[in-house]
Amino acid sequence: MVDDSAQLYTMEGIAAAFIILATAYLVAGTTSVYTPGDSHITDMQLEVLGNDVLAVMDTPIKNGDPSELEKYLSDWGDSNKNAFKERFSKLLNNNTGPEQDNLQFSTYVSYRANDDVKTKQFVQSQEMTGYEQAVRVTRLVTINGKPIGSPVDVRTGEQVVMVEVLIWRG
Amino acid sequence: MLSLDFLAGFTIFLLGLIVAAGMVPGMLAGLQSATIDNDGVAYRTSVILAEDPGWWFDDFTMTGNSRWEGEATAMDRVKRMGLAVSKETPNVLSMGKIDAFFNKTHYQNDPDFYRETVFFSDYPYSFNISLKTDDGTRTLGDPVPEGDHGYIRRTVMVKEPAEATFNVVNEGEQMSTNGTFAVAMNFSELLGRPEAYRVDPFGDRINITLKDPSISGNLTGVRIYRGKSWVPPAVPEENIQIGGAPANLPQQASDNIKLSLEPGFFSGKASETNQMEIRFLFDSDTLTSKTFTYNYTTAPPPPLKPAVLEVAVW
Repeated sequence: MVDDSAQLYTMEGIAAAFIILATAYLVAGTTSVYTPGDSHITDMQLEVLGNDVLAVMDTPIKNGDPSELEKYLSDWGDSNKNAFKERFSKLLNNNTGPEQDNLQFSTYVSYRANDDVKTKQFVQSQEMTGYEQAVRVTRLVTINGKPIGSPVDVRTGEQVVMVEVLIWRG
Repeated sequence: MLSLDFLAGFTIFLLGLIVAAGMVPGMLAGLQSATIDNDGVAYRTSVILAEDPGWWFDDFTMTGNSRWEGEATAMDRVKRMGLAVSKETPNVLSMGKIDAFFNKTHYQNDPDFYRETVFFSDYPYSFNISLKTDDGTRTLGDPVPEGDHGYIRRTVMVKEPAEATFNVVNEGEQMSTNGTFAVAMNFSELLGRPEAYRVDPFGDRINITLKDPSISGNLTGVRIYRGKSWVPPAVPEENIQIGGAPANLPQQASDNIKLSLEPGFFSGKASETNQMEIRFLFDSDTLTSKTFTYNYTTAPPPPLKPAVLEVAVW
């Protein structure tokens, strides 16, 4: 006798397939993978601003003068570091509104010591916790000689150092 | 009684229909994507403003260059309104270009011009562009909305025009019958410096003050000479101030005489290698004929000043 059992097996198969597909679809739809490509807009704003501030500080205000960045990097003493911190912070947080922005930063200087490249922290505006969503901007700066107060392995004479700044929203 | 075949077929059909209907909004969203790229537009606009010197072009003479701020009387020739001094000096803005750009009358008369030469888009973006310097904040456009909008901030430097002041009393003691004070400008010398630090006679406002002339005669006019030959017409009266008030020539010149030549004044009158002379003419015949030199000692350019440029787009 012909009955419906074969049809029931088919329907069960189709139903199971649908359930599996629907589950896979839901799982794929609700999970969002945060790729570097998605964060480029907010990062871009900080990166552009950081590069601008370094460029402005590296532009002499008068013809033939050394730039501000060169002056700050020629002395690694605390008072000069604090002067750099204040200046960088002012340029970074300045806006046209009544309230200043609250961007924080940490600066490092990389220099060549013999065959090595060493990195030393210069100054930071706030202690980093490690959870900051920071962006990194760099600029190469030529300095005239060994900076005052720099580590012993910094060479004498004209040299290029790399200034690296991590910037995040405070 | 419904057959199981019909039930299964109909269920699959319904599910298919639901999935297909669910895809329709996604299809349409692709056509209306202008709202999501506001940040990108703001960034692009800020790059044009801060890093590009702009461009004007005349279709008839097929000439053009980046000193568009001198085209105040023919703004329709301006193709791009960048504010940078030159393409080699990104983030260093020219005060002449800033003045020409933040011209509220021009903006109100023709806001579409700004959309064409700064945004390059058929989409009618609303925008707010602000520049904060030590002297205050300049703003152009509509108020920034509370809601979603694209935004970017740039840190820049502003190059201001030089001021030259010549002390007439000390200089002009020996009298002659000529009745002329002249200011000589060697354009090749002025243009010989790096762009961010030079006086550009074609792009900067040229300010000259003759201090305390105490001259008995009247100032009758100011003329521009290329070498020895006069380049007509005479300098318009609105460019001349005596004692801080607009001049009404001929006028007794007993107080400071200030001459202010707009950016672009020398365009078409001089080339980049000319030796030009600005002559102040008096009707007295008891005056010294004295030539002052306009150079980097008498007219030192002021130091570059930091400023903030903000662009909001929605």
